[in-house]
Amino acid sequence: MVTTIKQIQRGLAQKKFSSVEITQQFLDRIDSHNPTINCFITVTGELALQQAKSADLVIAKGEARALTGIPIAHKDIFCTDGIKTSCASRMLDNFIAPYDATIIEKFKLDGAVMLGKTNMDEFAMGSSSENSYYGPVANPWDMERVPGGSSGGSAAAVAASLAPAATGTDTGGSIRQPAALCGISGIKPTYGRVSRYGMIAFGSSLDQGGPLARSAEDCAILLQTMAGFDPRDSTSIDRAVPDYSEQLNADIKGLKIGLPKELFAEGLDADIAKVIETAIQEYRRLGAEVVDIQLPNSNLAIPVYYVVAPAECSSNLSRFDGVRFGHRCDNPNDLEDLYKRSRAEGFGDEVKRRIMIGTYVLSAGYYDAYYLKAQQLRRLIKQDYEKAFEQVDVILCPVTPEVAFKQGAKTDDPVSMYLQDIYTLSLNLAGLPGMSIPAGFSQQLPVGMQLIGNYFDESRLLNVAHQFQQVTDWHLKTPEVG
Amino acid sequence: MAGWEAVIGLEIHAQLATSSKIFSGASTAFGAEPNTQACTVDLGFPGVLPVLNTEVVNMAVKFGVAIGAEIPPISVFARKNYFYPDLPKGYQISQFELPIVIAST
Repeated sequence: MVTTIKQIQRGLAQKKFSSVEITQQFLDRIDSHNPTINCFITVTGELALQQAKSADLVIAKGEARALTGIPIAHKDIFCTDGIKTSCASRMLDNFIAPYDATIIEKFKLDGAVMLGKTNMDEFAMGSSSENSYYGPVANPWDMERVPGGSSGGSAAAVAASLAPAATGTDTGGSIRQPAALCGISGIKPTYGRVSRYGMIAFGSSLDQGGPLARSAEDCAILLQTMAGFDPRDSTSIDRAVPDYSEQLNADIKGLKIGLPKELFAEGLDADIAKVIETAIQEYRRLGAEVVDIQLPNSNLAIPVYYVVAPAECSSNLSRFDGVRFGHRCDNPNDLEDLYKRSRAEGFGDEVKRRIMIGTYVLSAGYYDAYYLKAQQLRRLIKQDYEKAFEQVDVILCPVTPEVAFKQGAKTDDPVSMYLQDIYTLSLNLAGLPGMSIPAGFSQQLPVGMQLIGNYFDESRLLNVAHQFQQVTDWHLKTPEVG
Repeated sequence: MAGWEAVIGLEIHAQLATSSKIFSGASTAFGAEPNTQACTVDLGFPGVLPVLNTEVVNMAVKFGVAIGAEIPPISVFARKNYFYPDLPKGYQISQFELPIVIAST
Protein backbone atom coordinates (compact mmCIF):
# COMPACT_ATOMS: atom_id res chain seq x y z
CA MET A 1 0.00 0.00 0.00
CA VAL A 2 1.41 3.35 -1.07
CA THR A 3 1.18 5.60 1.93
CA THR A 4 3.27 8.76 1.69
CA ILE A 5 2.33 11.88 -0.21
CA LYS A 6 5.76 11.89 -1.77
CA GLN A 7 5.11 8.38 -3.16
CA ILE A 8 1.66 9.32 -4.45
CA GLN A 9 3.06 12.45 -6.12
CA ARG A 10 5.66 10.30 -7.87
CA GLY A 11 3.13 7.63 -8.85
CA LEU A 12 0.75 10.21 -10.32
CA ALA A 13 3.54 12.00 -12.19
CA GLN A 14 4.83 8.73 -13.64
CA LYS A 15 1.27 7.62 -14.50
CA LYS A 16 1.63 4.45 -12.43
CA PHE A 17 -1.91 5.07 -11.20
CA SER A 18 -4.55 7.76 -11.53
CA SER A 19 -5.95 9.94 -8.78
CA VAL A 20 -9.28 8.13 -9.15
CA GLU A 21 -7.53 4.78 -8.58
CA ILE A 22 -5.55 5.87 -5.54
CA THR A 23 -8.57 7.69 -4.09
CA GLN A 24 -10.72 4.59 -4.56
CA GLN A 25 -8.04 2.54 -2.83
CA PHE A 26 -8.22 4.77 0.26
CA LEU A 27 -12.04 4.84 0.16
CA ASP A 28 -12.04 1.02 0.10
CA ARG A 29 -9.76 0.93 3.14
CA ILE A 30 -12.05 3.41 4.90
CA ASP A 31 -15.02 1.13 4.09
CA SER A 32 -13.27 -1.89 5.57
CA HIS A 33 -11.68 -0.36 8.65
CA ASN A 34 -13.62 2.72 9.67
CA PRO A 35 -16.36 0.64 11.35
CA THR A 36 -13.78 -0.60 13.89
CA ILE A 37 -11.42 2.40 14.13
CA ASN A 38 -14.18 5.05 13.93
CA CYS A 39 -11.74 7.71 12.74
CA PHE A 40 -14.14 9.33 10.24
CA ILE A 41 -17.37 11.11 11.14
CA THR A 42 -18.23 11.82 7.51
CA VAL A 43 -16.83 10.10 4.42
CA THR A 44 -17.19 12.21 1.27
CA GLY A 45 -16.65 9.38 -1.19
CA GLU A 46 -18.64 10.74 -4.10
CA LEU A 47 -17.10 14.20 -3.84
CA ALA A 48 -13.63 12.64 -3.50
CA LEU A 49 -14.07 10.67 -6.72
CA GLN A 50 -15.36 13.77 -8.55
CA GLN A 51 -12.38 15.79 -7.35
CA ALA A 52 -10.03 12.94 -8.30
CA LYS A 53 -11.54 12.80 -11.78
CA SER A 54 -10.96 16.54 -12.31
CA ALA A 55 -7.46 16.15 -10.87
CA ASP A 56 -6.68 13.45 -13.44
CA LEU A 57 -7.69 15.84 -16.24
CA VAL A 58 -5.46 18.55 -14.78
CA ILE A 59 -2.56 16.07 -14.53
CA ALA A 60 -3.13 14.94 -18.13
CA LYS A 61 -2.87 18.56 -19.24
CA GLY A 62 0.45 18.81 -17.40
CA GLU A 63 -0.91 21.47 -15.07
CA ALA A 64 -0.61 19.59 -11.77
CA ARG A 65 -0.02 21.62 -8.64
CA ALA A 66 1.65 20.42 -5.43
CA LEU A 67 -1.29 18.37 -4.20
CA THR A 68 -3.26 17.73 -7.39
CA GLY A 69 -4.99 14.39 -7.02
CA ILE A 70 -3.66 13.66 -3.53
CA PRO A 71 -6.36 12.41 -1.16
CA ILE A 72 -6.36 13.83 2.35
CA ALA A 73 -8.75 13.95 5.32
CA HIS A 74 -9.78 17.00 7.33
CA LYS A 75 -10.46 17.25 11.04
CA ASP A 76 -14.16 17.92 11.53
CA ILE A 77 -13.35 21.27 13.13
CA PHE A 78 -12.68 22.94 9.76
CA CYS A 79 -15.76 24.35 8.04
CA THR A 80 -16.38 22.73 4.67
CA ASP A 81 -18.90 24.35 2.34
CA GLY A 82 -22.02 22.24 1.93
CA ILE A 83 -20.65 19.43 4.12
CA LYS A 84 -21.51 18.59 7.71
CA THR A 85 -19.03 20.17 10.13
CA SER A 86 -19.82 18.76 13.57
CA CYS A 87 -16.79 19.34 15.82
CA ALA A 88 -17.82 15.89 17.11
CA SER A 89 -20.63 17.53 19.07
CA ARG A 90 -24.33 16.81 19.23
CA MET A 91 -24.61 20.61 19.16
CA LEU A 92 -23.48 20.65 15.52
CA ASP A 93 -24.75 17.23 14.42
CA ASN A 94 -27.12 19.00 12.01
CA PHE A 95 -24.74 21.79 10.95
CA ILE A 96 -23.87 22.06 7.26
CA ALA A 97 -21.21 24.75 7.00
CA PRO A 98 -22.11 27.48 4.46
CA TYR A 99 -18.47 28.29 3.66
CA ASP A 100 -14.96 26.85 3.43
CA ALA A 101 -12.28 27.52 6.05
CA THR A 102 -9.27 29.29 4.54
CA ILE A 103 -7.11 26.17 4.70
CA ILE A 104 -9.85 24.11 3.01
CA GLU A 105 -9.90 26.69 0.20
CA LYS A 106 -6.13 26.45 -0.05
CA PHE A 107 -6.18 22.65 -0.28
CA LYS A 108 -8.85 22.92 -3.00
CA LEU A 109 -6.75 25.45 -4.92
CA ASP A 110 -3.73 23.16 -4.73
CA GLY A 111 -5.80 20.31 -6.13
CA ALA A 112 -6.16 18.04 -3.09
CA VAL A 113 -8.96 15.48 -2.93
CA MET A 114 -11.04 15.40 0.27
CA LEU A 115 -11.73 11.90 1.65
CA GLY A 116 -13.86 13.05 4.56
CA LYS A 117 -14.00 14.62 7.99
CA THR A 118 -12.25 13.00 10.92
CA ASN A 119 -13.46 12.22 14.42
CA MET A 120 -12.07 14.11 17.42
CA ASP A 121 -12.74 15.14 20.99
CA GLU A 122 -15.82 17.36 21.10
CA PHE A 123 -14.82 20.95 20.23
CA ALA A 124 -11.18 19.73 20.45
CA MET A 125 -11.43 19.36 24.24
CA GLY A 126 -9.69 16.19 25.29
CA SER A 127 -6.57 14.06 24.95
CA SER A 128 -8.06 10.72 23.97
CA SER A 129 -10.73 11.24 21.28
CA GLU A 130 -13.18 9.59 23.65
CA ASN A 131 -15.18 12.81 24.12
CA SER A 132 -16.99 12.48 20.80
CA TYR A 133 -20.74 12.40 20.18
CA TYR A 134 -19.91 9.82 17.50
CA GLY A 135 -18.14 7.40 19.86
CA PRO A 136 -14.46 6.91 20.68
CA VAL A 137 -11.70 6.46 18.11
CA ALA A 138 -9.53 3.34 18.41
CA ASN A 139 -5.75 3.32 18.19
CA PRO A 140 -4.81 1.17 15.17
CA TRP A 141 -1.81 -0.22 17.09
CA ASP A 142 -4.12 -1.65 19.76
CA MET A 143 -7.84 -1.26 19.26
CA GLU A 144 -8.49 -1.21 23.01
CA ARG A 145 -6.35 1.87 23.41
CA VAL A 146 -6.92 5.54 22.66
CA PRO A 147 -5.26 7.28 19.70
CA GLY A 148 -4.73 10.47 21.71
CA GLY A 149 -6.61 13.66 21.06
CA SER A 150 -8.08 15.85 20.16
CA SER A 151 -7.01 15.16 16.53
CA GLY A 152 -7.23 11.41 17.23
CA GLY A 153 -9.34 10.60 14.16
CA SER A 154 -6.81 12.28 11.88
CA ALA A 155 -3.87 10.49 13.55
CA ALA A 156 -5.58 7.08 13.54
CA ALA A 157 -6.63 7.49 9.88
CA VAL A 158 -3.04 8.19 8.83
CA ALA A 159 -1.55 5.47 11.05
CA ALA A 160 -3.95 2.86 9.63
CA SER A 161 -3.40 4.13 6.05
CA LEU A 162 -7.02 5.14 5.61
CA ALA A 163 -5.60 8.49 4.45
CA PRO A 164 -2.04 9.41 3.49
CA ALA A 165 -2.32 12.61 5.50
CA ALA A 166 -4.80 14.70 7.45
CA THR A 167 -5.24 18.11 8.94
CA GLY A 168 -5.45 18.70 12.66
CA THR A 169 -5.54 21.50 15.19
CA ASP A 170 -3.44 21.95 18.29
CA THR A 171 -4.56 24.04 21.27
CA GLY A 172 -2.52 22.24 23.93
CA GLY A 173 -1.01 19.25 22.12
CA SER A 174 -3.90 18.07 19.94
CA ILE A 175 -1.68 17.44 16.88
CA ARG A 176 1.51 16.32 18.63
CA GLN A 177 0.08 13.96 21.25
CA PRO A 178 -2.09 11.88 18.86
CA ALA A 179 0.78 11.84 16.34
CA ALA A 180 3.00 10.40 19.10
CA LEU A 181 0.47 7.82 20.28
CA CYS A 182 -0.24 6.67 16.71
CA GLY A 183 3.38 6.60 15.50
CA ILE A 184 3.13 9.33 12.84
CA SER A 185 4.55 12.82 12.27
CA GLY A 186 2.76 16.07 13.02
CA ILE A 187 3.65 19.72 13.30
CA LYS A 188 2.00 22.55 15.20
CA PRO A 189 3.21 25.73 13.52
CA THR A 190 3.95 29.08 15.18
CA TYR A 191 0.79 30.87 16.33
CA GLY A 192 -0.29 33.03 13.40
CA ARG A 193 1.43 30.97 10.69
CA VAL A 194 -1.74 29.14 9.59
CA SER A 195 -5.08 30.94 9.23
CA ARG A 196 -7.71 30.18 11.86
CA TYR A 197 -10.56 31.46 9.67
CA GLY A 198 -13.17 28.72 9.44
CA MET A 199 -11.56 26.63 12.14
CA ILE A 200 -14.14 26.41 14.93
CA ALA A 201 -12.59 28.33 17.82
CA PHE A 202 -11.71 26.69 21.15
CA GLY A 203 -8.95 28.83 22.72
CA SER A 204 -8.40 31.67 20.29
CA SER A 205 -4.97 32.68 21.63
CA LEU A 206 -3.76 29.05 21.56
CA ASP A 207 -5.40 27.35 18.53
CA GLN A 208 -3.26 26.56 15.51
CA GLY A 209 -3.90 24.23 12.58
CA GLY A 210 -1.29 21.92 11.14
CA PRO A 211 -0.72 18.67 9.25
CA LEU A 212 -0.43 15.05 10.37
CA ALA A 213 1.36 12.71 7.99
CA ARG A 214 3.70 9.77 7.74
CA SER A 215 6.94 11.75 7.47
CA ALA A 216 8.49 15.18 8.04
CA GLU A 217 8.89 15.40 4.27
CA ASP A 218 5.11 15.04 3.85
CA CYS A 219 4.45 17.55 6.64
CA ALA A 220 6.59 20.05 4.74
CA ILE A 221 4.49 19.60 1.58
CA LEU A 222 1.23 20.04 3.49
CA LEU A 223 2.40 23.00 5.57
CA GLN A 224 3.41 24.72 2.32
CA THR A 225 -0.26 24.72 1.33
CA MET A 226 -1.62 25.62 4.78
CA ALA A 227 0.74 28.43 5.83
CA GLY A 228 0.43 32.08 4.94
CA PHE A 229 -1.19 35.39 5.78
CA ASP A 230 -4.97 35.60 5.66
CA PRO A 231 -6.63 39.03 5.73
CA ARG A 232 -9.70 37.32 7.26
CA ASP A 233 -7.71 36.33 10.37
CA SER A 234 -6.30 39.37 12.18
CA THR A 235 -3.95 37.15 14.21
CA SER A 236 -2.34 35.60 11.15
CA ILE A 237 1.09 37.03 10.44
CA ASP A 238 1.99 38.82 7.23
CA ARG A 239 5.35 37.23 6.70
CA ALA A 240 6.77 35.41 3.67
CA VAL A 241 6.36 31.62 3.70
CA PRO A 242 9.68 29.88 3.02
CA ASP A 243 9.98 26.79 0.83
CA TYR A 244 9.63 24.15 3.55
CA SER A 245 11.02 21.33 1.40
CA GLU A 246 14.14 23.25 0.43
CA GLN A 247 15.95 22.93 3.77
CA LEU A 248 14.98 19.29 4.47
CA ASN A 249 18.32 17.87 3.38
CA ALA A 250 20.50 20.50 5.01
CA ASP A 251 23.35 19.10 7.11
CA ILE A 252 22.71 19.34 10.87
CA LYS A 253 26.37 19.17 11.87
CA GLY A 254 26.94 21.67 14.67
CA LEU A 255 23.19 22.02 15.36
CA LYS A 256 22.65 22.88 19.00
CA ILE A 257 19.96 20.77 20.65
CA GLY A 258 18.77 21.74 24.12
CA LEU A 259 17.48 19.22 26.65
CA PRO A 260 15.25 20.84 29.28
CA LYS A 261 15.83 18.85 32.45
CA GLU A 262 12.42 19.85 33.78
CA LEU A 263 10.75 17.88 30.96
CA PHE A 264 12.65 14.70 31.76
CA ALA A 265 11.82 14.78 35.46
CA GLU A 266 9.56 12.47 37.50
CA GLY A 267 6.36 11.34 35.87
CA LEU A 268 8.09 10.29 32.65
CA ASP A 269 7.84 6.58 31.86
CA ALA A 270 11.29 4.95 32.06
CA ASP A 271 10.92 3.20 28.68
CA ILE A 272 10.01 6.47 26.97
CA ALA A 273 13.05 8.13 28.56
CA LYS A 274 15.18 5.31 27.11
CA VAL A 275 13.71 5.72 23.61
CA ILE A 276 14.36 9.47 23.72
CA GLU A 277 17.92 8.87 24.96
CA THR A 278 18.56 6.58 21.98
CA ALA A 279 17.21 9.27 19.63
CA ILE A 280 19.54 11.82 21.21
CA GLN A 281 22.48 9.46 20.49
CA GLU A 282 21.32 9.35 16.87
CA TYR A 283 21.45 13.15 16.72
CA ARG A 284 24.94 13.11 18.25
CA ARG A 285 26.03 10.73 15.48
CA LEU A 286 24.58 13.19 12.95
CA GLY A 287 26.92 15.82 14.36
CA ALA A 288 24.55 17.73 16.60
CA GLU A 289 25.75 19.18 19.86
CA VAL A 290 23.52 18.40 22.84
CA VAL A 291 23.38 20.80 25.78
CA ASP A 292 21.37 20.96 28.97
CA ILE A 293 19.02 23.89 29.30
CA GLN A 294 16.49 25.08 31.86
CA LEU A 295 12.84 25.96 31.57
CA PRO A 296 12.30 26.81 35.25
CA ASN A 297 8.65 27.81 34.88
CA SER A 298 7.55 24.57 33.18
CA ASN A 299 5.56 23.55 36.23
CA LEU A 300 3.25 26.51 35.64
CA ALA A 301 2.07 25.30 32.23
CA ILE A 302 -0.82 23.07 33.35
CA PRO A 303 -2.40 25.46 35.89
CA VAL A 304 -2.01 28.43 33.54
CA TYR A 305 -3.40 26.52 30.57
CA TYR A 306 -6.42 25.29 32.53
CA VAL A 307 -7.36 28.89 33.30
CA VAL A 308 -6.66 30.41 29.87
CA ALA A 309 -8.13 27.67 27.66
CA PRO A 310 -11.44 27.26 29.54
CA ALA A 311 -11.81 31.05 29.80
CA GLU A 312 -11.50 31.46 26.06
CA CYS A 313 -13.70 28.46 25.27
CA SER A 314 -16.48 29.65 27.56
CA SER A 315 -16.71 32.83 25.49
CA ASN A 316 -16.16 31.15 22.11
CA LEU A 317 -18.89 28.58 22.73
CA SER A 318 -21.52 31.16 23.72
CA ARG A 319 -22.73 31.31 20.13
CA PHE A 320 -24.09 27.78 20.42
CA ASP A 321 -27.34 28.86 22.02
CA GLY A 322 -29.98 27.07 19.94
CA VAL A 323 -31.16 30.28 18.27
CA ARG A 324 -29.64 30.34 14.77
CA PHE A 325 -27.92 27.03 14.05
CA GLY A 326 -27.06 23.75 15.71
CA HIS A 327 -29.07 21.84 18.28
CA ARG A 328 -32.28 23.31 19.66
CA CYS A 329 -34.31 21.59 22.38
CA ASP A 330 -37.89 20.51 21.66
CA ASN A 331 -40.76 22.80 22.67
CA PRO A 332 -38.94 25.46 24.72
CA ASN A 333 -41.19 27.22 27.24
CA ASP A 334 -39.39 30.51 27.00
CA LEU A 335 -36.02 31.98 26.06
CA GLU A 336 -34.20 30.88 29.19
CA ASP A 337 -35.53 27.34 28.84
CA LEU A 338 -34.37 27.34 25.19
CA TYR A 339 -30.84 28.36 26.17
CA LYS A 340 -30.57 26.02 29.12
CA ARG A 341 -31.94 22.89 27.54
CA SER A 342 -30.34 23.41 24.11
CA ARG A 343 -26.91 23.78 25.70
CA ALA A 344 -27.45 21.07 28.33
CA GLU A 345 -28.48 18.59 25.60
CA GLY A 346 -26.03 19.76 22.94
CA PHE A 347 -22.75 19.76 24.87
CA GLY A 348 -20.94 16.77 26.41
CA ASP A 349 -19.52 16.60 29.94
CA GLU A 350 -15.95 17.79 29.26
CA VAL A 351 -17.16 20.78 27.25
CA LYS A 352 -19.57 21.71 30.05
CA ARG A 353 -16.81 21.33 32.64
CA ARG A 354 -14.59 23.77 30.75
CA ILE A 355 -17.38 26.25 30.08
CA MET A 356 -18.13 26.32 33.81
CA ILE A 357 -14.47 26.78 34.82
CA GLY A 358 -14.02 29.44 32.13
CA THR A 359 -17.14 31.36 33.07
CA TYR A 360 -16.03 31.34 36.70
CA VAL A 361 -12.49 32.62 36.07
CA LEU A 362 -13.79 35.41 33.82
CA SER A 363 -16.58 36.51 36.15
CA ALA A 364 -16.50 39.93 37.77
CA GLY A 365 -14.26 39.93 40.84
CA TYR A 366 -12.34 36.81 39.79
CA TYR A 367 -10.89 38.00 36.48
CA ASP A 368 -7.83 39.65 38.07
CA ALA A 369 -7.13 36.70 40.35
CA TYR A 370 -7.34 34.07 37.63
CA TYR A 371 -7.30 35.13 33.99
CA LEU A 372 -5.05 38.17 34.43
CA LYS A 373 -2.69 36.26 36.72
CA ALA A 374 -2.55 33.39 34.23
CA GLN A 375 -1.66 35.82 31.43
CA GLN A 376 1.21 37.16 33.55
CA LEU A 377 2.55 33.66 34.25
CA ARG A 378 2.19 32.91 30.56
CA ARG A 379 4.75 35.62 29.90
CA LEU A 380 7.22 33.93 32.27
CA ILE A 381 6.84 30.66 30.35
CA LYS A 382 7.47 32.51 27.08
CA GLN A 383 10.55 34.23 28.52
CA ASP A 384 11.99 30.85 29.56
CA TYR A 385 11.87 29.75 25.94
CA GLU A 386 13.29 33.05 24.66
CA LYS A 387 16.27 32.60 26.97
CA ALA A 388 16.70 28.98 25.91
CA PHE A 389 16.74 29.91 22.22
CA GLU A 390 19.62 32.31 22.87
CA GLN A 391 21.65 29.15 23.59
CA VAL A 392 20.23 26.47 21.30
CA ASP A 393 18.66 25.98 17.85
CA VAL A 394 16.03 23.43 18.80
CA ILE A 395 14.75 21.85 22.00
CA LEU A 396 14.17 18.11 22.26
CA CYS A 397 11.90 16.42 24.81
CA PRO A 398 9.17 13.78 25.13
CA VAL A 399 5.67 14.40 23.76
CA THR A 400 3.76 12.36 26.34
CA PRO A 401 4.60 10.92 29.76
CA GLU A 402 3.34 7.46 28.71
CA VAL A 403 2.32 5.42 25.66
CA ALA A 404 -1.30 5.12 24.48
CA PHE A 405 -3.51 4.18 27.41
CA LYS A 406 -6.60 1.95 27.50
CA GLN A 407 -9.95 3.43 26.55
CA GLY A 408 -11.85 4.43 29.67
CA ALA A 409 -8.72 4.44 31.85
CA LYS A 410 -8.78 8.17 32.54
CA THR A 411 -12.38 9.08 31.78
CA ASP A 412 -13.30 9.56 35.44
CA ASP A 413 -10.16 11.46 36.33
CA PRO A 414 -9.89 14.72 34.36
CA VAL A 415 -6.64 15.77 36.08
CA SER A 416 -4.79 12.61 35.02
CA MET A 417 -6.14 13.22 31.49
CA TYR A 418 -4.90 16.84 31.61
CA LEU A 419 -1.42 15.57 32.65
CA GLN A 420 -1.16 13.85 29.25
CA ASP A 421 -0.35 17.26 27.79
CA ILE A 422 2.25 18.28 30.35
CA TYR A 423 5.06 18.44 27.74
CA THR A 424 3.03 20.05 24.96
CA LEU A 425 0.90 22.80 26.56
CA SER A 426 3.66 25.32 27.16
CA LEU A 427 4.31 25.73 23.41
CA ASN A 428 0.75 26.87 22.84
CA LEU A 429 1.04 29.28 25.76
CA ALA A 430 4.25 30.66 24.23
CA GLY A 431 3.02 30.45 20.61
CA LEU A 432 6.04 28.38 19.54
CA PRO A 433 6.15 25.72 16.79
CA GLY A 434 6.55 22.08 17.79
CA MET A 435 6.76 18.78 16.04
CA SER A 436 6.19 15.18 17.07
CA ILE A 437 7.93 12.37 15.22
CA PRO A 438 8.12 8.63 15.90
CA ALA A 439 11.25 7.70 17.88
CA GLY A 440 10.72 4.05 18.80
CA PHE A 441 8.44 1.66 20.64
CA SER A 442 7.57 0.66 24.18
CA GLN A 443 5.22 -2.25 24.96
CA GLN A 444 4.82 -2.57 21.16
CA LEU A 445 3.26 0.89 21.08
CA PRO A 446 4.73 3.95 19.35
CA VAL A 447 6.73 6.54 21.27
CA GLY A 448 6.98 10.10 19.99
CA MET A 449 9.75 12.65 20.34
CA GLN A 450 9.07 16.37 20.44
CA LEU A 451 11.16 18.99 18.67
CA ILE A 452 10.51 22.61 19.61
CA GLY A 453 11.67 25.47 17.41
CA ASN A 454 12.00 29.22 17.70
CA TYR A 455 9.24 31.44 16.27
CA PHE A 456 8.70 30.83 12.53
CA ASP A 457 11.52 28.28 12.48
CA GLU A 458 9.31 25.52 11.00
CA SER A 459 11.86 24.96 8.21
CA ARG A 460 14.49 24.01 10.73
CA LEU A 461 12.13 21.73 12.68
CA LEU A 462 11.21 19.90 9.48
CA ASN A 463 14.90 19.66 8.54
CA VAL A 464 15.90 18.28 11.96
CA ALA A 465 13.01 15.78 11.86
CA HIS A 466 13.74 14.74 8.27
CA GLN A 467 17.42 14.12 9.03
CA PHE A 468 16.39 11.76 11.84
CA GLN A 469 13.98 10.00 9.47
CA GLN A 470 16.81 9.54 6.94
CA VAL A 471 18.75 7.38 9.41
CA THR A 472 15.83 5.66 11.20
CA ASP A 473 12.67 3.93 9.99
CA TRP A 474 10.33 4.34 12.96
CA HIS A 475 8.11 6.59 10.84
CA LEU A 476 7.64 3.84 8.26
CA LYS A 477 6.31 1.26 10.74
CA THR A 478 2.63 0.58 10.28
CA PRO A 479 0.18 -1.35 12.46
CA GLU A 480 -1.47 -4.57 11.25
CA VAL A 481 -5.09 -3.65 10.83
CA GLY A 482 -5.92 -6.56 8.56
CA MET B 1 -31.86 63.68 47.87
CA ALA B 2 -30.15 65.58 50.65
CA GLY B 3 -26.53 64.48 50.89
CA TRP B 4 -26.55 63.01 47.37
CA GLU B 5 -24.96 64.46 44.28
CA ALA B 6 -26.46 63.62 40.88
CA VAL B 7 -23.83 62.36 38.43
CA ILE B 8 -25.27 61.65 34.98
CA GLY B 9 -23.40 59.79 32.26
CA LEU B 10 -24.47 59.87 28.66
CA GLU B 11 -24.17 57.01 26.18
CA ILE B 12 -24.24 58.56 22.73
CA HIS B 13 -24.56 56.47 19.58
CA ALA B 14 -23.38 57.64 16.17
CA GLN B 15 -23.69 55.89 12.86
CA LEU B 16 -20.47 56.12 10.90
CA ALA B 17 -20.62 56.78 7.17
CA THR B 18 -18.52 53.74 6.24
CA SER B 19 -19.49 51.60 3.26
CA SER B 20 -19.05 48.34 5.20
CA LYS B 21 -19.67 47.20 8.78
CA ILE B 22 -17.24 47.61 11.68
CA PHE B 23 -16.17 43.93 11.83
CA SER B 24 -17.13 42.54 8.43
CA GLY B 25 -17.11 43.43 4.77
CA ALA B 26 -20.92 43.35 4.54
CA SER B 27 -22.52 46.46 3.04
CA THR B 28 -24.25 49.14 5.10
CA ALA B 29 -26.19 50.66 2.18
CA PHE B 30 -29.33 52.43 3.36
CA GLY B 31 -32.65 51.06 2.13
CA ALA B 32 -31.39 47.71 0.82
CA GLU B 33 -33.67 44.64 0.85
CA PRO B 34 -33.94 42.85 4.22
CA ASN B 35 -31.40 40.06 4.86
CA THR B 36 -29.19 41.05 1.93
CA GLN B 37 -26.50 42.74 4.01
CA ALA B 38 -25.69 40.08 6.60
CA CYS B 39 -22.74 37.74 6.06
CA THR B 40 -21.48 34.68 7.97
CA VAL B 41 -19.32 36.94 10.16
CA ASP B 42 -22.30 39.11 11.17
CA LEU B 43 -24.36 36.00 11.90
CA GLY B 44 -21.64 34.64 14.19
CA PHE B 45 -21.30 31.33 12.37
CA PRO B 46 -18.87 28.76 13.79
CA GLY B 47 -15.28 29.50 12.73
CA VAL B 48 -15.73 33.07 11.52
CA LEU B 49 -13.47 35.87 12.77
CA PRO B 50 -14.01 39.63 12.93
CA VAL B 51 -11.71 42.02 11.06
CA LEU B 52 -11.70 45.64 12.24
CA ASN B 53 -12.70 48.18 9.59
CA THR B 54 -9.74 50.59 9.16
CA GLU B 55 -12.06 53.43 8.19
CA VAL B 56 -13.85 53.15 11.55
CA VAL B 57 -10.55 53.72 13.34
CA ASN B 58 -9.72 56.67 11.06
CA MET B 59 -13.06 58.30 11.80
CA ALA B 60 -12.79 57.72 15.56
CA VAL B 61 -9.30 59.22 15.59
CA LYS B 62 -10.48 62.26 13.58
CA PHE B 63 -13.31 62.75 16.05
CA GLY B 64 -10.91 62.46 18.99
CA VAL B 65 -8.50 64.97 17.50
CA ALA B 66 -11.36 67.36 16.70
CA ILE B 67 -12.51 67.47 20.35
CA GLY B 68 -8.98 67.65 21.73
CA ALA B 69 -9.08 64.17 23.27
CA GLU B 70 -6.18 61.81 23.78
CA ILE B 71 -5.50 59.06 21.21
CA PRO B 72 -3.57 56.24 22.93
CA PRO B 73 -1.02 54.37 20.78
CA ILE B 74 -2.53 51.04 21.86
CA SER B 75 -6.23 50.32 21.79
CA VAL B 76 -7.90 47.18 23.14
CA PHE B 77 -11.12 45.45 22.14
CA ALA B 78 -12.76 43.21 24.73
CA ARG B 79 -15.65 40.80 24.81
CA LYS B 80 -18.70 41.57 26.89
CA ASN B 81 -20.32 38.17 27.38
CA TYR B 82 -24.05 37.67 27.85
CA PHE B 83 -26.85 35.71 26.20
CA TYR B 84 -29.50 37.54 24.21
CA PRO B 85 -31.38 36.56 21.05
CA ASP B 86 -30.13 39.56 19.08
CA LEU B 87 -26.53 38.80 19.99
CA PRO B 88 -25.36 36.04 17.63
CA LYS B 89 -21.92 35.40 19.17
CA GLY B 90 -23.03 35.59 22.79
CA TYR B 91 -20.77 38.58 23.35
CA GLN B 92 -20.38 42.14 22.16
CA ILE B 93 -17.02 43.27 20.87
CA SER B 94 -16.58 46.42 22.90
CA GLN B 95 -13.91 48.67 24.38
CA PHE B 96 -13.33 49.03 28.09
CA GLU B 97 -9.79 49.72 29.30
CA LEU B 98 -8.15 51.33 26.29
CA PRO B 99 -10.63 52.72 23.76
CA ILE B 100 -9.51 54.48 20.57
CA VAL B 101 -10.32 57.86 22.10
CA ILE B 102 -9.69 58.74 25.76
CA ALA B 103 -11.05 61.86 27.44
CA SER B 104 -8.38 64.50 27.86
CA THR B 105 -8.00 65.98 31.31
